[in-house]
Amino acid sequence: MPIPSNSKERVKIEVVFTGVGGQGIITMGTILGVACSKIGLNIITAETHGMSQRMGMVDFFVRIGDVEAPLVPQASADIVVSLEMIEALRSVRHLKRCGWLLVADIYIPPPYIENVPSRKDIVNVLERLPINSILINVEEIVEKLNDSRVVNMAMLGAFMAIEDVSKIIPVTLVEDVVEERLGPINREAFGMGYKQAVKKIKEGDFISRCAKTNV
Amino acid sequence: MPKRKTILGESGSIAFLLGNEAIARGAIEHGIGVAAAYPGTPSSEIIESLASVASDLGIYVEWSVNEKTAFELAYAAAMSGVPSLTAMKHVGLNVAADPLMTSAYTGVKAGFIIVTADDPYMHSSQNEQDNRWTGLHAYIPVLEPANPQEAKDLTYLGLEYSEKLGHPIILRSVTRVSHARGLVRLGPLRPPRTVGSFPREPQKWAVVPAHARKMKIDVLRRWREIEDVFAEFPYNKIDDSNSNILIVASGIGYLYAKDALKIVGVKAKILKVSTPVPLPRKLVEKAVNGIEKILVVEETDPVVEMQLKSILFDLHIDVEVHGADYLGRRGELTIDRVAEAIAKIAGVSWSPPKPIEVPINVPPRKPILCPGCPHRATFYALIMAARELGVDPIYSGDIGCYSLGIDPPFNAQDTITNMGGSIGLANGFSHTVKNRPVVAILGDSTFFHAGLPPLLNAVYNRAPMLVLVLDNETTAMTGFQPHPGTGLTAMGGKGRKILIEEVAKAMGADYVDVFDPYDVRRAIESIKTGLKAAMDGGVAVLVARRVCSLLATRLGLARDRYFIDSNRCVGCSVCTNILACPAIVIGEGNKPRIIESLCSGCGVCAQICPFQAIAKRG
Ligand code: SF4
Ligand code: SF4
Repeated sequence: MPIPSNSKERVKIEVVFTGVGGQGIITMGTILGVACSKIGLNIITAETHGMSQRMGMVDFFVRIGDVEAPLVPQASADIVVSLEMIEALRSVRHLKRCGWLLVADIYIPPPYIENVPSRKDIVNVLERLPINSILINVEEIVEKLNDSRVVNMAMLGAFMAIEDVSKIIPVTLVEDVVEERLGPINREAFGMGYKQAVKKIKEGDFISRCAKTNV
Repeated sequence: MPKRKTILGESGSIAFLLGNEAIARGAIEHGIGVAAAYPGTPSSEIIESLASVASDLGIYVEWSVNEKTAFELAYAAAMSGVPSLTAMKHVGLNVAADPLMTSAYTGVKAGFIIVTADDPYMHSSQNEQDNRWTGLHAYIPVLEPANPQEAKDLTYLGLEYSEKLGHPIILRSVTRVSHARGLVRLGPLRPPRTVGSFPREPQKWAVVPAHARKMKIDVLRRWREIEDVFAEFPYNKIDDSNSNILIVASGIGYLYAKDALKIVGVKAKILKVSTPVPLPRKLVEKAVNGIEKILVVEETDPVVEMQLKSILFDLHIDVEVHGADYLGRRGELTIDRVAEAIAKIAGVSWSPPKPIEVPINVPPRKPILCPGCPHRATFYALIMAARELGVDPIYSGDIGCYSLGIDPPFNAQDTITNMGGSIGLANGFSHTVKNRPVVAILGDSTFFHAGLPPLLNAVYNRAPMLVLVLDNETTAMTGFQPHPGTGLTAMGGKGRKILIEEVAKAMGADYVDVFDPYDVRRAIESIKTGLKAAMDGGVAVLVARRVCSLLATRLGLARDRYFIDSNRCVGCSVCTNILACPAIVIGEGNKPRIIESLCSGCGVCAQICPFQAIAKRG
């Protein structure tokens, strides 16, 4: 089966996953990649390795569809998924105007640094930006499943709630890949993240300072 | 992730592969019999992938002690007719430069591919060197893939061409190819060739001057032949479009150029170059027909641009050529960077979208030594020992996690230059700086890689110093690869375990001791004794041995958790400011608190708290 390059010509989605080293960000991209490989949809990702694994920041770029190069250009991401609240602020630079920012409510202040914005500061700032942001209660999911390592899959589930994504990559396909690779607990976390985000979008339970919100 | 299954995937299927995994797959498809490397970001996953399937295929894969050794092993395999691969990061190729230069002279009998994973922007490296120069310098042709699919294909083809030409070939990858993931269509697997022969033929393999002079003539002849062969290389191509602008794009530059042209809305002819060294004259001749302006897009140095200009000059073709002047010659390419250059050459106006401004200061998040990192405990003991003796040593550092000791609160790395440079530079300082003792700080893997010759030199030539080997029983920085101190091999077998202290003793070090950095008082005393020995004119070697805390956690060895008794804690901040374990954070009332989910239970904080406020849970 050849990798089709023409059939899905119009599709282009640019995503940045971000967070702190050790949160399993690369696994999120790998799951998406395996899902795309099953439907022959082009995907290219780029990751930062090395020193950043020692609790530094991690950026993971995902480009899907009619794209060639691995890096997402500045201020061009359609969606940013942040596994940590401070990193969410930093990653706004990747996001285009009216893009979607999905943030896990995990707060990891970097050690020995003064004037770190609090959770409340962060939410306040997000409310003032020309973007759509959804805060996902991951801590609740982690508690229910009694496993702190599922944050990444919960957030991948939330990401799949964005319609532009689910209309080209079937949610159930991704769900199956999650279970096949990481087991049933992760599938559950994925489903919980997905449902929570779908509900928030449907009920308008998110921050938007954006005139045109097309979900 | 089931790496093994993916790497051995069926012919015709599509896999989602890391660039480095794709390189491994390409080598397997060709049927290599031998692979050897020393780990280094961004190259490590190539050998990791090969090692994971070595027993399935019956091939030999090893982590060698350094790149030169790895190179020589793979080179010899190819001399004996067994196709082989060696892989290293860009600076690793410097270590292997000696045999590399000569390998072009002797050539090889089977395919021999040398992978250099360059690191533009220095994500995890000390410099940004572009190893396509090395190919030009060494008369070794260079292939440059653009994405994971090409990484696989060019590895395969590189081995084929190498065998056909009887010449080594360099595959130059960059971080965004080695560490990009993409869809790769797998090809058929050929059975590996693992057994060679080596008939006596010294005039072919022994580079005594009389032989080497003849070989040089042959190298020059082959070099011209290679240029012609590369003009027909299937991954070089001309994307034709009705335009008087030509973009010459090498490797990953091609992808950036394609995306950028779309963004700016400009049409241009593209010459895609997969063989940047030597740049084939015939191909250039074909591409420049009817062209008025050329933009060369390549990552880091103007290697193609300079060859192109020289070819155009020889051909008396007068066109405007831009490249490094528009794109710069440092850091990584980006779509925006290339788009701006394209807009400039096409004379259209375009500027990248501006990021949304965040009206608050976002604090930096730098990599740090992990919670429970044995290196932190050793740095703490080192600083305390120096303080107790009232000395201010020169800290001659090295390449590894412990490079992070450069940051506060330790500030204990004055120089960091190259593998083994710690002891190497200490050899110099000890002869020139008389009023401060010299402490060379290096890791276990680094010790075996490049620490042995300079240590021997220090002992032999009497260069007083304290050599502190931070032995965390793995190559932690690059992903826990084994080395001679671990007693394991790349393929998962049992190796002969070599003890650093035994080596130091055999070399004649004046004072040798081993301590556990988690035993703080004992560590401080040992370092004090070592420092005194160095100040008395001796060479002291101390081994601080304790397994990496990340590895300990993975192996389920780290089970204890500590907590701070807020009634006893007086808020002196010794634990947060002098030890600085990231699991200890300042909580309410300015008193520290341990985040138990981060704590790896090393117990070092409990030993250093002057008020016994920290204790084990349970
Ligand atoms: S070292 Fe002990 S007394 Fe001092 S701040 Fe830390 S826990 Fe409190
Ligand atoms: S025991 Fe103390 S020093 Fe060790 S990891 Fe836990 S908090 Fe950090």
